Order: sequence, then structure tokens, then C-alpha cells
Amino acid sequence: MFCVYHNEPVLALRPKESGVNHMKSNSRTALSRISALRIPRMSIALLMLTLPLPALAALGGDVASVHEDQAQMKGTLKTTEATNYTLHEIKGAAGTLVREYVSPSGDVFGVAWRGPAIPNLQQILGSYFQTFSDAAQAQRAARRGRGPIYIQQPGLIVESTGHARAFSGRAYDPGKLPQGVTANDIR
Amino acid sequence: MTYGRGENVRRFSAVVLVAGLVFLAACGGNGTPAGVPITITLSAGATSLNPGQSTGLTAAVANDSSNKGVSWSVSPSGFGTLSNQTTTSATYTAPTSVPTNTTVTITATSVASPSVMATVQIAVQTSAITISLLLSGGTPAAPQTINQGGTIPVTAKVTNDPSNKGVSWNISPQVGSLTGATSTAVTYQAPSSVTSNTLVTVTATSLASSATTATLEITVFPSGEVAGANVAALTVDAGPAPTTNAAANTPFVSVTICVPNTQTCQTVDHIEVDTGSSGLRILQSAIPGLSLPTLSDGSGGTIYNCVQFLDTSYLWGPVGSADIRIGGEVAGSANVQIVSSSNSGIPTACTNGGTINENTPQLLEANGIIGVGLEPTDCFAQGLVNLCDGSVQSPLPFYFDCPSSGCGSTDTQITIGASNQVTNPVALFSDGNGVIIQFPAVTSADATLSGSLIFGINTAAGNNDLGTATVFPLAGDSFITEFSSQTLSASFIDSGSNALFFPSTITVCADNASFYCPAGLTAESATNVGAGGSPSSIVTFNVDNADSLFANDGGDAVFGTLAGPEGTANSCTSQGTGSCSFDWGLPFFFGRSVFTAIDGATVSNVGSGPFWAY
Repeated sequence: MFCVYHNEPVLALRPKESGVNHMKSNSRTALSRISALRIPRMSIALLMLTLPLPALAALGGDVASVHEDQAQMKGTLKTTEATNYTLHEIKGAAGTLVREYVSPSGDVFGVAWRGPAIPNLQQILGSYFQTFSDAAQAQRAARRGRGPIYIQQPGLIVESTGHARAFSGRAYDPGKLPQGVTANDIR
Repeated sequence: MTYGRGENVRRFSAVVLVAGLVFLAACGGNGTPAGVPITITLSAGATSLNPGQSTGLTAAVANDSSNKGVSWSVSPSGFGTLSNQTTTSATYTAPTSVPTNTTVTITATSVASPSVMATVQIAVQTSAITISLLLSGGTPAAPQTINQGGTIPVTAKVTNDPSNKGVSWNISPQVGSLTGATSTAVTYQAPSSVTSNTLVTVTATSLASSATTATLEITVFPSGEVAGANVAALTVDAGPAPTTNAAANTPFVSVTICVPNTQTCQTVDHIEVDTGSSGLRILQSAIPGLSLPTLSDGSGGTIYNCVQFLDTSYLWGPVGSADIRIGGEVAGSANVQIVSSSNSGIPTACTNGGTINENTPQLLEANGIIGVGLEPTDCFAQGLVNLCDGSVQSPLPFYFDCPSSGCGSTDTQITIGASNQVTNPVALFSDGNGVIIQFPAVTSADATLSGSLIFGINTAAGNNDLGTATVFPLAGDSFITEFSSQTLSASFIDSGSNALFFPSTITVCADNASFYCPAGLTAESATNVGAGGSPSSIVTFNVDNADSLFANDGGDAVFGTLAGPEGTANSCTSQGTGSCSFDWGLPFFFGRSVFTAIDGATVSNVGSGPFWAY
């Protein structure tokens, strides 16, 4: 496999050290990906899941799929019990927070995200991804320009909002919300 | 006895030639056994070259018992060079200047038996005539704006012009005139009065080869609008593919892109102006004749860039270096993204956000995007926090190190310093602290709209003063919009969004969920508030039924009342979760001068960016 990580500066095309006047100095601290993780100290109950890795991924999957998303994001996981669901929060190494909502019966019924990059939707939308991708492309063509995603299908709601370096969004299956849970809980 | 001297035989493929199979009668000298002839098989790596190109030559010599090999010669003598000569190989390099198409014969002669030789023929094409248009000072010509009554002198530099015939000049449409025309120079004289922004194209045509032309776009501004070296003409229209993929509410500019430090340039129209991103992203297919250097990793690989948009589409391609010219502004050796025409070799870390690589004019509805937003590169967040160099977190999935064979799906992002990131070209301009976008008010849907992109804020250019505009401080490159009892804390102004997008209970269109479809024109009001709580200003706007707008458009591309949903109404919390953005897209710019100041840049009398002002 070709080198995927540099500890040495990449050679520039130009001798100029800083091409932008307003930029802070280009120090390449070159943290390793592991040491770059910010592992917050949780003041509330923290549960590191140790379930075996499942084949299914997030939305529509079972609770075990949360763990696979965590591995994919190289993230830290915080789990919080709410009245009608369990919230699993994955903080990815690249700064994006993904929240996965799991029903009492163990199904992931909603996901939400926020951060400087769009998370791996192929991973966290799981079996819903193709439906989402088709709808997003159709919406892009019909929009005749760029804007947020707002997909409202009977079996899938997806909203992508925000701007560069500040993305947020959510996806859920409105038919699979547990009793006592509303769409506004997913955010 | 067969003497096949000079006879070329094609074998295996077009580039492998077997030449001059020569058989000798009994020649006992030079260590060659009597009755066993020396044979030479000569091959060339390429049999067709452009000026300055090279090819390898290989001679396989059989029965050469003394292993003396061959000597080399070229005919016509002196036409190109033979280098790296050994007894079995050499390199032929064509001349850099080739007046007419020329066939070169390379001859390999046996040293042991000089009557044995083989030849191969190489076709060298003539140098194409090229025309570079230059402005005063010898700078490559880029799209210009001038006021009515103004003049612009232009010179033509013609290369490979066999008899130095030069060029003829004309303009289209016939607005203004050309004066003092010679075979290498002319002056464009704008008319004394125009009623609106008027695009005039000056064309130089080679007198030796009428197929060879070069053009300069000049936009003449009417009285009351300010043209100049730091001003570019904006156009909102249906884009580069109007019949199949018509754009709506997309502002375009023409940009001249040059190989760094050369006059080898191409001007590309319909580049989308995006205050929501940073950096020039140009479709590879839009610059077919331009070979920009790409960013090497220092060990044979190339650095690639990925950018993801809110709609989860993306652009993928190598980081290139180019001089970016608009008007009199130049961003020298700026890092740009050259959007690959190919869809192979894209890491999943780039594609997994969702949809597709918008690498055609049809998909992108533009020939490129010029990001003139708040940050100096595509990796920075407010406060000049670099999210790609590893200083604060694992890098965003924006940069990849691909071997010459291309990246694989499992390749992951690399850390990369600011000087190698795709650069906001404005930050490299002489008026480099931000931009102003000006459009007239829009009262009804229309096919086109003209405006201005002005570089610099309160700079010495003197035409870009903030004046009485309200300056909004930002946090996280956002400000606050209060709308319909919602405090939308992650709101923003973005010329790259084609409508006003905000969370509301207005009815969403049944067949196009990107937009609102109220029963009729609906008046709305919101208040923009600077991060931290001040200043604030009320914005009134109208929302029309998008289905009606699009159904009745008849080729329209300008819609001042287009709006749509951004998430779900009343879901934004004080913690910033839920739908907390009001996206003030292009309709907000209609009837305003909107200032976008770059993070960390000094703006006299104000302080420093980032900020928005209007």
C-alpha cells in the first residue's frame, strides 16, 4: 500500500513558503492519528461497548452496528440513556460528531451529525444509503444550483444543512420511531 | 543476396519498426565470420513527435561477433539532436521550432561493417502558431472591465509565425471601435455611452493561419458603475449547458488561467463565484490545451484534493499550480484543484459523503468554481485554525497522496500544510482582503442579470469603500439570524447557494422538496445579528411559489423570490443542535453590495476579517 501519511512536509511547487499573507506559520506538527484524538473526560456515565463487530451498519441496523461506525470513524463513544431510547455519540478523529439513536428493542432508528466535514454517510445510513443517494442526485438536478438537502420520503427523512467546515444533518425512518419519541429528538 | 537497406517493416505495433535487414556476402574482415551476415533491427519508442519532444532509439545487432554495435546519424543533418548515444541506443529530440512538417531519418550503422545499416523514420509536426494577447506592461490579458468612453491597448505576441505576418483584429458585437491597428497591436475604444454592462470580445486572428485566434473579453460599464483593474463582470445566466442543465441563480465570472510565470493562458467562462468556499476548482475538460504542473509528493506521487458540498456531491482532482488572472489582479502560482475527468481511483473517504463527482459542465452547471469566501484556504476555520495540518485534529478528508497509478478506494487523508492547500486566490491578489459582490435589484424573473465582483475592501484602489455598510462579526464563520421566533445561530451569507434556505413552516413543493411553494407571493422578515449580539438589521424578503417560477420561466435563470427549506422549523436548540442555519443565498445579493472579508486580513478603519457587511 502506498504511503498514506506524511511526517515530512510535502514538497511545494513553488519556493514561496507562505502563499497567503494572512496565514499563520505553516508548522507541520504531524500528529499521529491516534495521538490527535481528543478523549474527553465524561462527567456522565460512560460505557465503552465491547460487542463483536456486526455486518450491518447504522441506520436500520442493530445496536452493535454503532460499534462499527465508531471503528470506521476512529472515534470515541459516549452512551447516554434517555427515557425512550439510548443515545450513542461518536466523536470522530476528524472532529465530526455522530449521534445514533437506538430503540429499546435495539434498532438504530435515527442518526444526526455535526462537524467540519460530512461523515461517512455510506457507513451511517447503511441500507438506506442508496435511496438517499438517488434522491439527493435527483434533488440536485431539480434544484438547478447548490443548496441543502431536504429529502422527505415515506420511509426516509434526510436533512443536510450548514456550510463549509460547519455541516450538520440528520436522517431517520419516520415509521420506526419508538413510542414516545418525536422527530425533534433526533438532532 | 538480398540488400534490404532502407526498407522499413512494421512489426507488432506502429511504434516498433524493423529496418534495413542487410545481408552480406562473404566478408571476412573485422572479426565477422565469413558467410554469417550482421543484421541490425532498429526501433523507436515513437515515430511521431511534436516540437521539443524526445524518443528513445534501440538497435539490436545480430552476428556482431566483436560487439562493436552501431554509430548514429540523423537526416536532415542538424534537425534535432541525438543524445545519450551508446553502441545500442540513443535518444532523439526534435527541434523546438519546426517551420514545416518534416520527416527525419535516423540511421544506425554497424561499426564492424559500415556498409550495414538500418533506418527509422520519425515524423515531426510543425510548431503551431500561437497568439498571446498582452496588456500594457506585457501582462497576459485577462477579462477586463472599463467605464464607457475608456480605452484599452492590446498587443499580440505571435510565435512560430513563419513570415511574421502577425494578426488582424476585430470586435464582436460592434460596440465601440478599434483604433491604431497594426499587425501586432490595437487599442479598443469603448463607446461614449452604454445603457448596461456590455460584453465586447476583441479577437486577434493569425494572418498566416486563420484558424488560430486569441480573444480578450472586455465589459463596458455604464455611467454610475465602477469599472477598473480590481473589478470583474458578473453574469447570472443558465450556465454552460443551458439547454440540458440550466443553472438558476448562479453568478458566473470569466477567469484567465495560466501556466505559472508564462504567457501560456486560457480564459474560461462560466466559473461560479462562491463566497461559501475557498479556492479555484477548474474542470480538467475546460482547459484542454493547458498543462498545469501538479503538486508532487516528492517521491513520484501526486497530491489530490477532495471537496464535499452541502448537497453531498464532491469534486476530485490533483492540486495544480496556476497564475489566476481577473482584470488586473493576479494570484501567482496559486494552488488550484484540477477536477479530474475520470471517475476512477477516488478514495472512499472522498466519495462516502454521498453522491457524485460533478466533473462535467452538465453536472456542475459551471466550468469551475472560484471560492472567494471567508478563509484563505479550503482547510481553515475561523481564527485561522488549520484543520488539515494535524495541529488540532486528524486532518479532514480533503487531501490524498496518490501514486502515479492513482489512488485506491481505501487510501486515507494526509496531513498537509497551508502552503500546499488549495488557496483562495483573492488572498494572493494585490487587493487581497476580501470581495464585494454587487447586483441590481430583481423585480421579476429574468434570463440574465449583470453585476460586479470587486476585489479588496477599503484598499488603495479607492472604489471598494465600506461606506455606511453594517459590519457583522462572526463566530465559527457564522452569524445569527432571528426568524419566526427561531434564533438561528449558524446562519451565513453564500453566493454559492441558489436560493434563500431556512427552516420554516411554509409549504414545501410537492415535486421539488428543495423549494417552498406558498399559495402566492409571501412577505417575510428576519433580523441578522452579529456574533456576540450586535449589530442587528432587519431584512425583508418575498417568497414565491417555486413551481410557478420554474414552470413559467421560459429560459429564465434569475429568480429573486426563490426560497426553500433548510432542515425542520423550530428544531434549533440553544446548544446549536437541530436546524440552526439561515442560508442567505444569491437572492440576498440582489439590490445590495455584500462584503466578504477574509479571516485574518486587515481592513483599514474596521480591523480584520472575517466579517460580512452590507
